[in-house]
Amino acid sequence: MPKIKKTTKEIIAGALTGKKHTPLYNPKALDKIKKDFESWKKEKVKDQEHWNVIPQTVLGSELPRELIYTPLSNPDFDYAEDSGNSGQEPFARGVHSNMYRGRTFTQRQLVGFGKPEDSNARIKFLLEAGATGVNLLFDMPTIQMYDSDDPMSAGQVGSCGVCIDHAEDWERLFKGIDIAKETVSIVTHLPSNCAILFPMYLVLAERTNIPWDQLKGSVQNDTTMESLVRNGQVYLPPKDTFRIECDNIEFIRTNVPQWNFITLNGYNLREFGTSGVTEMAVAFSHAMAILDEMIRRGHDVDWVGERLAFFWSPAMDFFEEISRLRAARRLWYRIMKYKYKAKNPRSMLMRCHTQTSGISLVREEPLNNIVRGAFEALSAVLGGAQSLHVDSYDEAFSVPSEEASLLSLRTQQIIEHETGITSVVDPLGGSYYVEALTNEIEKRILDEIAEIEKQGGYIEAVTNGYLLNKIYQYFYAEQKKIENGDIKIVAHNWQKSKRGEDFKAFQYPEDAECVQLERLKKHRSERDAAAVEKALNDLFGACKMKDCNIVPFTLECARVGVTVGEQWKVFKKAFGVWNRPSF
Amino acid sequence: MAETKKIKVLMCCIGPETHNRGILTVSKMLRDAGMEVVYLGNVVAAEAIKVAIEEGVDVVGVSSLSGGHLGVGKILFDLARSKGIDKQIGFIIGGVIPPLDIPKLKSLGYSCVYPSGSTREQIIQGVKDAIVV
Repeated sequence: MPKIKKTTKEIIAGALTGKKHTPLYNPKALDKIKKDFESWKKEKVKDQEHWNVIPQTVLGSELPRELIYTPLSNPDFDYAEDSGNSGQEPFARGVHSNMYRGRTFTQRQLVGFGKPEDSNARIKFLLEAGATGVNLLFDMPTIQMYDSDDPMSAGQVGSCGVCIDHAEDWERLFKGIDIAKETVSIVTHLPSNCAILFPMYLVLAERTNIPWDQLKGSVQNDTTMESLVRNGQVYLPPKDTFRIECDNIEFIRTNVPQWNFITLNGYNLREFGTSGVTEMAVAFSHAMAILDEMIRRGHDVDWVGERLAFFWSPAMDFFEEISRLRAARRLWYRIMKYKYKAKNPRSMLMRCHTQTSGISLVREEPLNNIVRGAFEALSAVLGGAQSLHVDSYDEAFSVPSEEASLLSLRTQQIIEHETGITSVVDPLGGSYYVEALTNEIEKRILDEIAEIEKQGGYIEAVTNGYLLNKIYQYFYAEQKKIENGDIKIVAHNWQKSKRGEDFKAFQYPEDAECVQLERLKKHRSERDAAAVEKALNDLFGACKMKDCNIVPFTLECARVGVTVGEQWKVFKKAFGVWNRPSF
Repeated sequence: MAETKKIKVLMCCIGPETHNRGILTVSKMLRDAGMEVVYLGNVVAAEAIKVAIEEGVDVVGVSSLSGGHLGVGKILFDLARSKGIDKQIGFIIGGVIPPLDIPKLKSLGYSCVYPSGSTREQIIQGVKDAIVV
């Protein structure tokens, strides 16, 4: 009989059973509280059949909430086992002991539109206004790996991000910005484009004489984005996308030691349409698939674990969002400690970037979006995030204007410097409500991880359509709830308003496509055609070879001026095309 | 009772649009309303026009969320006009579209423009209105 593997939930439950337990609450006190509580509930509380309500919020998990939480909600609460101090196992209260007093959350506003020099100017504007990190987005053709002169790109060059065709565009993008000093988040989204674009960044470092070991920042490099979330013309088979992802991890870990080689992206999956619980269950299942593969490749779990980073979406259910970050820290610690037997405490830390929910923003009365963003940002800070981007109030219309970008940065600065919130670590820890919600969310994430494990694990759940179907069901259902008013969105479907109908949104620079086309034509004519051909042939060979890391070959492509689109064509030829399930 | 012919709609994004919750949601709304949807996903304009002719659709719906609506909108409609189908097939477009671009899209030839947040009723009615009789 085949050995049935234990689920992650069973492994953790097994490890925690029989541990010495020191409950915080005195049983006698609990008895008294219970007696008082029951008579209070019976005599004083009206409308008892609605003791539990389910908040209806955008991208909510619909966790039932009681009217009030008391010590009875979490009677076995063990401070050391369930909470601990900040920077201490199980890290529920925060990954660092001093948290924001020691190091504040990185204030990293996304930038990306038009030509490289358009985005360069916006990056400099935000850094001069006090941003503490760079956060880069690419245009649709670059994300999907089409060159500016590909027929697919017509009309889209420079839209929703910056256009990059080859390594020289990186020099234009970072002109006058010291990449040895700034931490740079490169939102590559996909493993495939990460394998192409990040080596171009390394070539930029070479050309500006900055050793790779001084570079700090992150790439996204996420199979969930490439195979599940993205709308693509064609897809590589998920197993090959995952191989490229792991090749990126291995190469960057070895050669760019301070770089975060993956940001497990829950955010975009959630924004595509799913709950906060599913968001984390998928990202953790994915992270475990990476660890399994890296162990198979002969690496130590800590070698990979200590640089894994996550990316979450704080949406509108305020206390759920705070509790979710606490739950995720505790659960990731338990997974690393009990399932993977990590030794290095840093590997057990769930470090995360957060971005307020774009899909929660609406067009009606757009200034209301400032309030939404501020509440979401506040939940991320109260939850102990390491890094934050606040979406701008005009993003239901276009990419943000300079003024709106600044306002988002100012929102972060006001939270940090004016409210006093960052003086105290995990200010809501110990709240009966937040602790109970933290427990419930951790349990639900584990249950959903078990469902994915029943499918055969992360890659299988992506490939067989299980996750895609789950997401579709979620967002169709959510759409209905917004239509029938179960989920209320102020000025949109409740207290309806027409203000915003004449909103003047950001206008893209009009010359991006024209300028990039000219530059690309010149670039193609000037480069060493033989070197380009050789680099592409070698890349194809590496893709076809089992257990061969492709990144040294994409790096060579970057050095000799191969474009993004030329490398994508090699990937498609080498790996073939996956027919994504449709419903 | 005479059976009415199902309305046939081609749904697509022109170029490498990465967002798809909108197009999937609208496609489902139209199917739920009894229409036949030909879902193309991301394609170049020439492919969309070719399929629209082959399938004999009544309406072409374009989804654009990344700011390229004026660029791709023009490319698609100009091609439809050059193939002489702009008078036989209705064209509608939706997505993240700034208010000031709505009249521009209409003057390009789109009979209806649906910014994000448009309702099911508006979209279904718009498809019906877009049909060239």
